[in-house]
Amino acid sequence: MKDLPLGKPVVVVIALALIAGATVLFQAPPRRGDLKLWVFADSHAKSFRPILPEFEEAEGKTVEMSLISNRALTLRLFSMFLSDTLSAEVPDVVEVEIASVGRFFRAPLDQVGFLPLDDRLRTRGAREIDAPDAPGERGWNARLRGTTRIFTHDGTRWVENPDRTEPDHWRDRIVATRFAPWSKQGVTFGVPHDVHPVALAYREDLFREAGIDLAACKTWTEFHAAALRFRDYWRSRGFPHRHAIELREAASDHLIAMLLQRGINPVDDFDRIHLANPKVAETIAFYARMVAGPDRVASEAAGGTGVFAKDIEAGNLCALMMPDWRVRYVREFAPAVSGKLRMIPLPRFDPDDAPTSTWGGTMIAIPRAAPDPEASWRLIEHLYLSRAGLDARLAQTNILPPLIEQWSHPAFTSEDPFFGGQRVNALYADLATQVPRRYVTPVTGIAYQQLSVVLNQAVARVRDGGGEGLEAACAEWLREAAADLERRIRQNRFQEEAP
Amino acid sequence: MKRLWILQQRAAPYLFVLPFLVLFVCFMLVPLCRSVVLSLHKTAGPGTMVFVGFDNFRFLLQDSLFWKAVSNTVTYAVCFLAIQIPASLGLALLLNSPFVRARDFFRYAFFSTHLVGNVFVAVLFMLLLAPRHGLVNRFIGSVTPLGSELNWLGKPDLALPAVILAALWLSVGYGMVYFLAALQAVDRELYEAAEVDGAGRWARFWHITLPGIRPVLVFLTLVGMIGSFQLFELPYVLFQGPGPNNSALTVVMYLFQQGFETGDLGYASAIGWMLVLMVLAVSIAQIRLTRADRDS
Repeated sequence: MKDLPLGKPVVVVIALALIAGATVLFQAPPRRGDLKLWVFADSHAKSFRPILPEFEEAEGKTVEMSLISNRALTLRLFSMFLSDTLSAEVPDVVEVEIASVGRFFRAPLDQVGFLPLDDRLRTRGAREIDAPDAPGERGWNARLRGTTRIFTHDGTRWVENPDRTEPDHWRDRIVATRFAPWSKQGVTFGVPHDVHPVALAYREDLFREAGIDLAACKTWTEFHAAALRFRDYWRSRGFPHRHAIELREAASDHLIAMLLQRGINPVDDFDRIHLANPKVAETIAFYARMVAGPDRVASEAAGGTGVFAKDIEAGNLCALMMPDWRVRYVREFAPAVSGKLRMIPLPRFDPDDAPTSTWGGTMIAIPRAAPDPEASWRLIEHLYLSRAGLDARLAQTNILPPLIEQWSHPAFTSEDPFFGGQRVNALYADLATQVPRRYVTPVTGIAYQQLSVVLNQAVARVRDGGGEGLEAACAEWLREAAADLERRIRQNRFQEEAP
Repeated sequence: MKRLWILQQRAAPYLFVLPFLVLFVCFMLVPLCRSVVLSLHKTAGPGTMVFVGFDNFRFLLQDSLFWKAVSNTVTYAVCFLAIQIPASLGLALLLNSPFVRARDFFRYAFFSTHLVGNVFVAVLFMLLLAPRHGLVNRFIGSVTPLGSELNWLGKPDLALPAVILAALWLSVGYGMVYFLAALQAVDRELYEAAEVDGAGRWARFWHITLPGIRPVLVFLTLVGMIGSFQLFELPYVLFQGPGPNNSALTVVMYLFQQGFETGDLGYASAIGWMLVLMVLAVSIAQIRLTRADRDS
């Protein structure tokens, strides 16, 4: 060893490198499944895992599921679509989160990396009944099993409908508005995992103690007035940090939920901009007065999973917009509020507004390069649209599925002791039919960014005591934002797509 | 055989350089050239590539968000360096003094913050600066009338200071180590001679220490400036986006947003090249200024 010209350490390092290299080189390759499934949410992976063997057995194909963090999944998929969509690494089935999907819709329709699913949604999943006395809901169309006879439900029973030749298919059985985020110019690229209706959850005990019946507030104006009384009551008792509602001051999440409630998407799936709609300025002005100035009733929670729940528990934030996915965090991080929370539909601005909104979402899709789209589709049906899929989902979360007939499951109709015996899932199911359309395009993120800039301007103005003429000022700022957005859309659009 | 030996001797240097060269060409040169090509195109994948000439650059010059990002980045760079350099130097001077006990412990303690990385620091500061629950706000609430609800990450005026605070926590110790090394290299005899001549502390610092550590000072300023222009992870994780009123939007974050969130790689490439030009201009100006100063 002493004759080694490089010295012992270098030889050891080289030896280690050689051993490590050889180990990697001769390692048996990991077992690859016939179908590759990418998911980003741990709870989704947990709900899929137990039902995959059933599919594998029925199809004679193996499924390799990879749990990849959302950001990594999106970037990898996006890079694959941009570079070589025929790569063997492209998954057969993939879940995509709503905030990430816009970028995939930048390419012209025929070159979007996902396979259009409209044909399958319109022709598969026929509704069938075993007998005319089977349960159903008004307007549903079903084929009597083993026959070609079509029945339509009239609200009380199934009646044969000779005018109809086709029963309902997946497209009719899923909440229609929920296809919006996963569509570009009317073409659908994904099956929704959820509906995510939004309700208003609140600390009933604290509002009751302040003498306020929040359930009686049907409009946002009424809510604001009640929240002011709530604030004054608790301030006078030495609770200056007790806020009536969680609303973010600088980011646009809650504001967007309110705008969706009013049927407004900043940009729709045909790239039309709606920022100049007078309701946007009106909503921003109202919102700014809730989060700043003398009539402030809101505050926000810090970032981080479940931190908002701690604020609910401590009584710092006493009401919050609650999509169904958020319930899990409150249960997990704020167990002490069990029995003290209640939920009501969102107050409205106008009578024709929806009593709910939507927040978050996931789709499942098939990349165009998937070698066996039929097998991919059957996997989607098994994971998202089957009874086994529903049972597995319910073991993990209470997220409402988009398939309407599944809402009759006992889990969605039973009383919830955490909410004082209220049937919160039934409330979500009721709201789910009224969920507004939410569109996502490549410029949606920029549009939200611009909305938050206008919101900041409004908040600053309210804070400086300039609440007078706020709505007109907001309208002006929104006009500027819309003009900028229009330029970006023009810059972003491919010629053949000009509307 | 002799011929072969001569050939091998001639080829050896090139063979040694070859692995680097191959990697450099594959992973640096080709992507760089490709990004120039991309910046002249509108693209959404291999099948959708439209030549647009300098349209991306033209749009960039009129893009208010880009200029907002530039303004934020420059403000950050100036504020950060204006605090980081003196703070690192001050710390180094303090921990270079023989009168400080447990110097090694403090040196390690101040440097250790640099080992954890941007993402960790961002998560840490997200918790520290949280309204009501965060330690910083609790401290402010207990000693000032401002209360514990300061929304550092939600107020445009406080967003950039929050980023600077986190960045300083991360990098002051790093600068300190460089200054410590430089301070220890300054000739002791110069101090003794100056003391004999009656020079005070300030005069010794100004006329001996500062010129002695000048190369490190220039290096840290240059590296700090380039690092500031590349700022991304810290605000991105801290705010999960561009921050309130885009007040934490940096040039690299905007590049990322355009390239990987909007999906416009052509425009993102144009932003990248603009960033290269900016860093180049600032670096050249800085080097010239310091050289002129030294010559004078």
